[in-house]
Amino acid sequence: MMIFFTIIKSTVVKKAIPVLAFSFLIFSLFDLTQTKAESFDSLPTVVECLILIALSIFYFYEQLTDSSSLFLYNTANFWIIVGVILFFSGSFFVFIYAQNNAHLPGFNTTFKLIMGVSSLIENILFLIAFIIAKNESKSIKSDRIASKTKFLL
Amino acid sequence: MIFLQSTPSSQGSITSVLFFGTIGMLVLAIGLVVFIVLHQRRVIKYQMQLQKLEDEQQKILLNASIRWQEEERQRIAADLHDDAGPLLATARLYLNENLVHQDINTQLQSIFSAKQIIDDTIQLIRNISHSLMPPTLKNFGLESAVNDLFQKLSGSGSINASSRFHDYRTRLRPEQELLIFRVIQELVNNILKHSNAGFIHVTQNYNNDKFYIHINHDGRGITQSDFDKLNKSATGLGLKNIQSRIKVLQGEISFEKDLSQTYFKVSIAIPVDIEAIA
Repeated sequence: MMIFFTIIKSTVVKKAIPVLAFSFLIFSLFDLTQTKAESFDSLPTVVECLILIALSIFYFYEQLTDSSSLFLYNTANFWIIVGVILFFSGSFFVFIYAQNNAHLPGFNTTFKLIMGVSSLIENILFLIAFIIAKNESKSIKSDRIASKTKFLL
Repeated sequence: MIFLQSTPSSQGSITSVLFFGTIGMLVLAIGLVVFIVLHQRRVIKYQMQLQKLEDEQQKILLNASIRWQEEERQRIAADLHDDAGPLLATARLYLNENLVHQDINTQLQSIFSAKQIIDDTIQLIRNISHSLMPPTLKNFGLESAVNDLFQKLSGSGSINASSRFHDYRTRLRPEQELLIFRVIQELVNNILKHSNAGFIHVTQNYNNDKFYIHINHDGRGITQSDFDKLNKSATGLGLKNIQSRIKVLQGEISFEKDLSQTYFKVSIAIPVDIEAIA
């Protein structure tokens, strides 16, 4: 949630994120005491999915309404959020069914397949984000050097 | 989560729900991302078009401004060449070298004539200078300059012109006054030339840190859509000058027909920083 806290501009949502994170932590700890240790716990995972998907949609909404944010797909943040939303959308149904159906013979294969594909897509998108971030920092660095050289000249 | 528990018979349906659910969610998420990207592209395209239009408008205004400057220079050059030049040449003829060989009366007569011509030349140059920067505006401010202009107009007897400044206790900056005066002059000139109006009335007031000038006349005027159209066309140099001056003042100008449909109204609003002026 840290990334959403840094990139979302709305002050209301910015204030809500720490509250949400803390509430989620309390809820997860409480839920941990209620469930058996050996089984997959679907409820907090699904809640986490919903929170992150909702925050991702809010980020997109904010970018759509903000006329100053052009060339959105040239920013690292955009690709990270796309990675997050695709991963959690892809694995949402698997997380719902995982707790009660893990014992079924074919379920593990399906689980691994869907999680694997989702993770792969997410990692590719994160890689794009990292490359963009690296280029961004390079261009900022070269701009700084250029301005310094201009000053010296 | 109890309803999600399955029996071995429903294992196949769970797998299909998982697959279709996941694919559905992915399609929704990808659709959302694609929509965002397409929307962004459309916004960029729209902004670029807007920028292009703005650049074109800027270019038209700049051309109009250059043309106006050139015309003004030509007018001054013509005034100096056609009026001041011959006058000074005549004065020079009166004061040529042969003057010393002539009798005293002829000499005095020549000097008197030359003096008359030089006085006329001085008056002519003063008129040119006043047309560039009215002395009333420089010394007494916009209110006096506009009143002076309207008194002259009224004095001609061809039109009923009046002006009333309701709140002009603090003078604007000289360059602002000159620009506003030129805009009023150009508008009045247009009204006289094209509208066939019987009266022109100018009022001024302040409201919410804005300086307002309203010009009303009962002739054939233009509305905002006509102004926008003329501003984009190659003609209408005067209107383009008005627009570029208003732009320099960071103000707004609007042309409208009164609700009673009896007269036209031109409103100018200029943002004014009172503290900066004081």
